[in-house]
Amino acid sequence: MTEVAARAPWSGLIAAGGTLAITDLGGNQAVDCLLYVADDTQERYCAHTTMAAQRNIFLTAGTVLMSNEGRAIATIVEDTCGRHDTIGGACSQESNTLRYGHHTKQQHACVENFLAEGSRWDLGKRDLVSNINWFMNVPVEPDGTMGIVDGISSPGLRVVVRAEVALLALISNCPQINNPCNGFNPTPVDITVAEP
Amino acid sequence: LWEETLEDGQYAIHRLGRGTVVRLEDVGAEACAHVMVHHADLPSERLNLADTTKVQWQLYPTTGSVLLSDRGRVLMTIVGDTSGRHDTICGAPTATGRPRLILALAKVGLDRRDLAPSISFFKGVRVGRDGALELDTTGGGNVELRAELDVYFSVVNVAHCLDGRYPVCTPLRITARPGEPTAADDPRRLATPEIERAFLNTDDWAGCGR
Repeated sequence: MTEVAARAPWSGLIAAGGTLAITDLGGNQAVDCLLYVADDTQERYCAHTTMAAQRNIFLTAGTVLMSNEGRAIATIVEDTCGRHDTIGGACSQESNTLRYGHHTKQQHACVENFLAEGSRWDLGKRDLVSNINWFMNVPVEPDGTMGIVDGISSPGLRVVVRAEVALLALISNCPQINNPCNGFNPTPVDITVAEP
Repeated sequence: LWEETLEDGQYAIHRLGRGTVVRLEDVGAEACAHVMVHHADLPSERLNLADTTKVQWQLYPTTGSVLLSDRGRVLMTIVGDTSGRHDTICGAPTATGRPRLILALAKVGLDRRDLAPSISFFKGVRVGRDGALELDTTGGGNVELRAELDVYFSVVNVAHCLDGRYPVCTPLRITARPGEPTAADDPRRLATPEIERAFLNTDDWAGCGR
């Protein structure tokens, strides 16, 4: 069990057959996550292949997480929240300037966490792709309008992912304070990795 | 400038200067153009579909939509669209689209690490309230995209991954013409505060780099 502080990054290896469990301790906390095949990090989680394979945008129990090479790399084996986002991507200094104005540029952001934590594993900007947002609620209206709205998560809810191959997980406990994805108040989460 | 027709399974990559307008035409109603865009001056900067859709609050791009990079800049603007059926969710098929996009990128010294989720034109993916995906296979029409920075424009013509009819793609016609980047007083640029700030970031790069 590792408590990841509000706004902080985390990374770690998950053995094939092992699990990664993420628990939303304070409620309504988005957790941005990227997965890489441990022995070839150019093969990585692909949001698009995952959504196309299950013909649905929401991730939940039973969802098979696919790689950019079309391989099943992980499975969501438990989910007490109900659904998670993978179209909204990660907040960055640069996208914050567009969404909230240039005065927010120096606020902390998920891409900063990914770059800092990824650098410890020789991962850089080119390795960042569309990610999973655990516990984040992004509904789509019939006309294509997207919302980032109040979460459906609450304290103690958790999601468990089983690795089908050895994986490296890169996580940002989202520091965004300008929209409801964290209830305007980032809080800690628990991350537990288990061996097979 | 650039004239090429892609048959089923063919790909191309071209450098487009700032202001250039590229036109994609689905002449036989069964083309599907999977497109990736990189900033030619700084290839680690590329199309970011999550930011593109999130910042514009819209999953279905059409005329007036911008394609945003991961650095908050406008790579391209959609300046014409007679199709209205496109896809920002499924990406290029891993078996047919991805290997060809990797070949395209290899021609300019990039590799599979540089391939992020791509956009697809002429086959429409729509999302139901329950999150389920539906594919609209009505084809035909054309799309025009203006480069707002110098870009590498990669495209492959293969069937959409949700298309259960497994069609052989009809030809995709590509033509490019010279032009100017979106002007400071263009209403499209001022459409929303988010798009206006994206163009300011784009001007900042183009101006400082001169």
